[in-house]
Amino acid sequence: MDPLARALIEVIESVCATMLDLAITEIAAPATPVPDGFTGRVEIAGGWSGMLVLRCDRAFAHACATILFADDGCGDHAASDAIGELTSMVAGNLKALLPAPARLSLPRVVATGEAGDAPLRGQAIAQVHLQLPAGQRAEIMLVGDAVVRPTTPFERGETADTIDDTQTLHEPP
Amino acid sequence: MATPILVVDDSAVSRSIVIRSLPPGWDVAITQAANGQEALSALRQRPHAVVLLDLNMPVMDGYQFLEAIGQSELARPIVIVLSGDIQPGAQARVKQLGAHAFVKKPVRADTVLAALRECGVL
Repeated sequence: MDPLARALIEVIESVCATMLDLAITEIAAPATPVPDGFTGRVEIAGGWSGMLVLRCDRAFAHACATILFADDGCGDHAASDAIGELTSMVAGNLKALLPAPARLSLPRVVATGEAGDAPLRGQAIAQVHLQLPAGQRAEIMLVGDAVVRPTTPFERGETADTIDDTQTLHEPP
Repeated sequence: MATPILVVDDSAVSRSIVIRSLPPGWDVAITQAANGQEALSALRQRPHAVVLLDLNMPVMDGYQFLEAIGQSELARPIVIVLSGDIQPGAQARVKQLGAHAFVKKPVRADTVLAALRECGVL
């Protein structure tokens, strides 16, 4: 398996186990796309440009929110917040594996079909299909520059004084 | 007397997780803020012993909050940074800006407890 896809699986398994106490399982690419639900995106800029995308069905998002808020009656707002936080945590944990510097945007979550749910630009360089124990589906992918070159700061001629990978990408107003 | 704690994160989910990860039975009075600016306002209203701080937030992020508090006349709380960004650069920078400890997200009760002990809060 592609090392990036492997890294994606390991990170989301770890985040789901810690954050949700849920075992998430990798599944083979299904014949049908993920049913309508939510899409979380975190843009990545720096040594590699692209975005982390988590797309899930509504049941997946609501299952996450129900656990996180300890409330069976969670609505779409809570579900969206849960997917945003999940996407953000996966991106934060992946950051160390991407060429530095890697600056992350705030997570943006849209419901499928809503304004802002624009088609993804660029190709998916790593994609993993996932399922929760009760069958809720999701997929997670890295979309962007075709090749992730793990260059080091030294190879780019940077020094410890000039490297700043701690900046946050802010959305334009 | 309850220990005043300020939880700063733009995600309600994340704030909820952080609050649930605090040691059971610890007598705390919790204030929540959705960004660094709201956190500064809360600190101006009353001192807090501990700030549990996310880094990646809109309006004013965690780094900007640490810079602002460092330049202010406000009483300095213990600041524990909670972040999914586990790169050494991030940890070094927040320590340089005055944070006392760093906890990797997703937070767990044991790592929060360890950080609170490391900072001498418990």
